[in-house]
Amino acid sequence: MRELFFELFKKECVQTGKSLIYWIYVLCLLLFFLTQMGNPGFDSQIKPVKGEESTYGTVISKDKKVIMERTLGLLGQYLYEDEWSTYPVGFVKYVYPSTEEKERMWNILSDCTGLSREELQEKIKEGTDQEEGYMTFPVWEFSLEPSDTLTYTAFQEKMERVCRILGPGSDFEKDTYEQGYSVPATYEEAMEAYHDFLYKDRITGGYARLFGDYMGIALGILPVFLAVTREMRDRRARMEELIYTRTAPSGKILMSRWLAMVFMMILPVFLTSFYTLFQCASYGRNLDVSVDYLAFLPVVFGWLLPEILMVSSLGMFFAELTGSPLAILIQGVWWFADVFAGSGANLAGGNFGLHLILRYNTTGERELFTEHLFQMGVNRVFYTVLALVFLIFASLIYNEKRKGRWDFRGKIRSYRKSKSEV
Amino acid sequence: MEMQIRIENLEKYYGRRKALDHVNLTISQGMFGLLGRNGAGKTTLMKILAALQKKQGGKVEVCGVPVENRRKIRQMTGYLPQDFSMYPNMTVYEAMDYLGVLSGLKKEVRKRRIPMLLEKVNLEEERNKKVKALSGGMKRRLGIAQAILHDPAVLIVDEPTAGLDPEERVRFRNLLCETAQDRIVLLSTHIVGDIEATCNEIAVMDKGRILYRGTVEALNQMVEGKVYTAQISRRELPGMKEKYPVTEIHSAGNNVQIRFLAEEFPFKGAVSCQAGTEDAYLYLMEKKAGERIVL
Repeated sequence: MRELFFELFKKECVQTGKSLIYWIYVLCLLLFFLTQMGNPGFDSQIKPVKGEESTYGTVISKDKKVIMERTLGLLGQYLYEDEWSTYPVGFVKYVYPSTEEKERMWNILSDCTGLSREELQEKIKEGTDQEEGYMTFPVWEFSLEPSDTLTYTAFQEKMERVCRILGPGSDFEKDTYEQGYSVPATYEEAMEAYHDFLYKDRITGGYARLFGDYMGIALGILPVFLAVTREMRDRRARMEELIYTRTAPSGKILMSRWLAMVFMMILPVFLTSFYTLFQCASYGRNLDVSVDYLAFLPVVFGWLLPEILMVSSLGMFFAELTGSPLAILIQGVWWFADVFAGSGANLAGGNFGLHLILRYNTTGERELFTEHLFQMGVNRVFYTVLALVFLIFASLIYNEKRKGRWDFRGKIRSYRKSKSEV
Repeated sequence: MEMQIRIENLEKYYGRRKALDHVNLTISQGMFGLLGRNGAGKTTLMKILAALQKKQGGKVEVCGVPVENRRKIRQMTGYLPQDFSMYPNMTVYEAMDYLGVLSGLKKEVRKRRIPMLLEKVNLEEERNKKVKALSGGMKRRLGIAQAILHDPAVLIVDEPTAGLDPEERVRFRNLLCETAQDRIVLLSTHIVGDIEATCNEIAVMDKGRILYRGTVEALNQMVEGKVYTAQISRRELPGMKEKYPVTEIHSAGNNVQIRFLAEEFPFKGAVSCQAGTEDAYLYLMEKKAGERIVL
């Protein structure tokens, strides 16, 4: 049986390799890679020069004063702009506090800063809106000085009250604000970050994360096209009944298709990673740093593979369920929401939650990434399991189709339940 | 293994429409023809036998195995659907090999059987040709080869000759007869000539019911002495069609030569002639289904 499964897997790989849609997938992936990441250049990895602050970059500060200032600044900004978003279970949720609730939050902010509402509004207006040509843009690093009497415990208590108004997943939860805020680095901190990049990440670590970030965007949508076309190919080729009457179990047929597709889809991702790896290796040789040649493996197989598994199994499931390309629309909406309203809002802060597309758009901040590694692991295991669940359901539907429960045009066939004896 | 298909009181509905109405049938080894017009229920019956559809009443056994045992049924049946093709970019050999794997055949078995079957269906020279490059007749022959790839005891063939040219049709019929030597071959068609040329035992279906079950000879005997030809004027033709089931019309100048069915000697000038299966089929439809066949 195992031998036959492997035979089927091989044949599915060959079929995938011969399909036009697969080569379009490869082309799109390469284009995305070349335009987004391409030649790393290593311009951002300049060794800090003492006295030149522009070369220092930023670090994450967990200083309590910084946390209070920036969290209060954030609350001020939310109140001023009156646009509220939270991230319960990892996905964006827009909340609309009532006038009375907003009044309570203004009062909390006044209590924390010792400023009146008018003074606060004036300060926020000055601090967040800057004219640059014709554009006005907010300064996200805006901070509000806490009053001298505000202790950290009192601050925490006030933020809890804000959380009760906004619900779960807001920026004012202890776990969120205690992750710290990005602040300009000192020379020593900048040197430490540079050393981390060279000797802890060994160059490739940082670039592997950036690779995962960029490729994850493309892989959040492209596999669904392959999955849907594979599932619909049988009908297009009028081959459904020839396959349905074979002895191979439905689970085996779909599993071999899925694994072959996934294998063929991860292959160009894996090969592309060598491009960046060799560039990093060359850069490392110039600096006399031995790079980690295995750094891309966990990114390709731990970070990106579960995404391919998920997107392709979702595609197969909806293609089997509806007999239509509806999955492309569903995945498109998910992709759009995740890229533009979800993880996209947090490009390099960790907080992976349950996002399908995990963003970490920096080669630095290794420590912060490491802190969120467990969360990322949970996320990827979750999607791997979910992908398997979708595949199992796709197999069940496929099996029902083989029995004639769904007609060959994909519509659910009405049948007399009371008469059905099987 | 018991070489027999047994069908008792088989029922099948599509929504409220009855597709099969208490069908009873026993089919033994050899060629068996299922004749009926489009929509008679032939394809539904075949799909139930091939475990592609669920029945809603009655009992069906293929070689002693209930159709509910799908895995076993799939092992012992080969199916050639009415409207089928294969992945167009695969070669003939690749398509056969792919289906062979899905049938659970080991590599060495496939290597042995596929060339043998391609030779049998006269496609050995096309083994490396892509499926999309095959003619309609070649595709049908490939269809037979794939259906018997796993050496099934039962071969179910649905409307296999539709759209084929006369030469291919004859070749295909012969191929089916050869295939039927050691198995049950169930041939469904609405083309009487196919049945006449290949089957001894037949069943005629209409509106989900079996109208006739027996040999072709016995069916023909039903209309013995009831088939006539006559030459009439064109003006008389509408009246004749009203009165008798007319099975053939040929122009003969201002007159027409007709072939028709009549229970008794119809009129002076009519000549009794040898009955054919087509006459018998039309007579049966007229008699049992209670419908006038107007050609």
